[in-house]
Amino acid sequence: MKDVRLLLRDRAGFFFALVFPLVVAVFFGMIFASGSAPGKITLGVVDLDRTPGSTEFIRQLEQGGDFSVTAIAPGEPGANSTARDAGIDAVRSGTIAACLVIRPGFGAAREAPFAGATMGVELAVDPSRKATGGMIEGLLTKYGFQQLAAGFAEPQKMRDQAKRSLDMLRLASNLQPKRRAEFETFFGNLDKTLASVPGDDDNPAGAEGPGGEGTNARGPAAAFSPLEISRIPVTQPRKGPANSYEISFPQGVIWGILGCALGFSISLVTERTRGTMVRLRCAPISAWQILGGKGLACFMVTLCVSTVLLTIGVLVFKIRPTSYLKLGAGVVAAGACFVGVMMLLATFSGSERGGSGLGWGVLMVLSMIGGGMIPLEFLPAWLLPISNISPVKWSILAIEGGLWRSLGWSQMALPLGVLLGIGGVGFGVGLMVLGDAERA
Amino acid sequence: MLRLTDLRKSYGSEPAVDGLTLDIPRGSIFGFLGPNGAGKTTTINLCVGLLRPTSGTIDLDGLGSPDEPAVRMQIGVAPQAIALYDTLTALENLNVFGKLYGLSPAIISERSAELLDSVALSDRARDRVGTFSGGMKRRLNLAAALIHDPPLVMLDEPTAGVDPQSRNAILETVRSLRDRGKTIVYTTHYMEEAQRLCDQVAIIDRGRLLAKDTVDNLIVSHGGKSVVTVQSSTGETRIQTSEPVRELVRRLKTDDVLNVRVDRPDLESVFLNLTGRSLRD
Repeated sequence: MKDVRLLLRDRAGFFFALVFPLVVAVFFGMIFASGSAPGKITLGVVDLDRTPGSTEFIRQLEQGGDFSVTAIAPGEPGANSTARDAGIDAVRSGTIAACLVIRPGFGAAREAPFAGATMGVELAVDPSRKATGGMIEGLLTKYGFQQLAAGFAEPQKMRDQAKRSLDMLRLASNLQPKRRAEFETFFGNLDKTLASVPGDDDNPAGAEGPGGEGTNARGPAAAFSPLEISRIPVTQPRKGPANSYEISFPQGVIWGILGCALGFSISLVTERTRGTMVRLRCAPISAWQILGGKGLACFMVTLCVSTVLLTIGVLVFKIRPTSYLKLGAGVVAAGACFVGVMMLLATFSGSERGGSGLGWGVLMVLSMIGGGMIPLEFLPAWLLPISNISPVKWSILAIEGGLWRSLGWSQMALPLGVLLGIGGVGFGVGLMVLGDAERA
Repeated sequence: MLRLTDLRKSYGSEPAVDGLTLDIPRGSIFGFLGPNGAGKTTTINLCVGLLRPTSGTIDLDGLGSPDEPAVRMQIGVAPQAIALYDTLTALENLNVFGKLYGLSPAIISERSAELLDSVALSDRARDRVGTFSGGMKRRLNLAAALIHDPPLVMLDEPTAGVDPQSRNAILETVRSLRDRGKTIVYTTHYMEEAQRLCDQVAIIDRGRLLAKDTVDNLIVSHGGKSVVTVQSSTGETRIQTSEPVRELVRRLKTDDVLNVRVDRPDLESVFLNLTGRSLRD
């Protein structure tokens, strides 16, 4: 109780233990709230082709919902700067996330996919946005496939293209006989396939498609797709978090636990530097009773802070845990873990200032590599195995397991076990080192 | 009450306490006098179990060494550093320390009121210690050592950095504790305090016991002679004598005395004679 009272009267400690985590949870929950539209990727487009095909492609990019498209014009007259240069400059200056340059011939290749030409584009992406660049390429590939699918919407046109391609091949003098025969077979089969695909006139929009009546909502283009993707539900019974606060509140809880752990670590150092530890050691109690009492107080405060934050989340922000029992287990394990971390930090601190610096430094790093600041999926691949040493990662997983991931007990066993293990080791080491140091 | 037998404590090759053997009698104020770094605080820390001796034994009233919690129950400590929680009130501090000794809330409440009254802090009972002056903190530091009414009280420089009023209050409190039958071990480097307060004094330097006796006996044995300074019309004369009164009467009869001063030996001169150094060096 003494330690709880000391924490409550330390305004800075109280702020970082309770107020700051609540601010973090609410703030980031609001930012990622599902009601607001996710940000589109700003994409500058330079159309060097200027054909109906490239224009149609740009229109699809604009209406697809993934990009905020801006047409890039050439630079100022006399500046000797092309539109392509202007686009690259805009990426370099951070005005746009990426610039797409549609090369000449795009439209022709779009119209004749089997003529040997490809729909060529150039993409300039800010080097600091590695993840974004990959995402953009994936999205553009999707739109590229849509061009191919659109081609199958006019099978007769495709048959004419295929026939022209076959005529060109037959006139080619440098083609080996075996390869010529293979192409003859391929285009023959292609012609047969295209002959079987119903055209727009044969299968208008709204008619029955492969999926049943009314499934051909967008005409024959919807009947053909190079890749059919079906979503598999991952979480049961709910599909993911009900709202953004179910993602932000676990992080808020972690910040609360970190604040408590740091506060108690510093208070333990303060007891040693200010002399009150002398009184404690002169009393008829053992070292483990003194340190155990400190640890118990820290643990109780982390539970209280976590309970307050989650109660606010449930009552005000409508978070709905899938299992209160598992959520409680996660909170208890995370609290126990950071009690051990608190003890460890206190052993290496000789002063309050040193304790504060060391504590914040270590806990910040653990939070960064553990997904407490940046989601793990955005970290580089080589860092992901290292994140396993961070108790923050396992704490977030354990709490989310009871909140929205709907993990089973066998799946919860690993994060709970890791957290309790770290806590036990930290407490044990701290007890050994501090206990010996106090009685030299 | 407290028996130290050939007590030694070394830090590496440096002896902090070097073969200390003492019997501290019950119901007395026993002083450790010595300069800074003499080993006084180390000796106190050994006696309360904060440090482990390199060799030698400590026995409290036949109960054993202070390693045992039951022995520590008999000891109250006012450390040299003020060991109080600044963000707690005076009453809350006493409550915390009382609970460490297993006292019930009723007993803690009763004793807290008595102790705060005895150290003149009753009117500040509900104020946070961080708002106290240095002297007030020292008085509360002493009160915290007495919350569990121990028979043996260790006071490590309890008046360090304290104003004269608070010093007098502390010294009076210490005297009253002795009058109530408690045994006080008192360390100081202030000769005047030791002379004024202690029934017996042990003079230590560099971890070694140089002499131990009552103040008067130490002065007689090691203090040297008194110095009578006589100022007359013919000049100033200093006479070392073991009978200063007789010498003064003789001079008054024979000389045209304008002024006299008698410097009696004190613990400072005892220390100087024993070590060749001043207490304040």
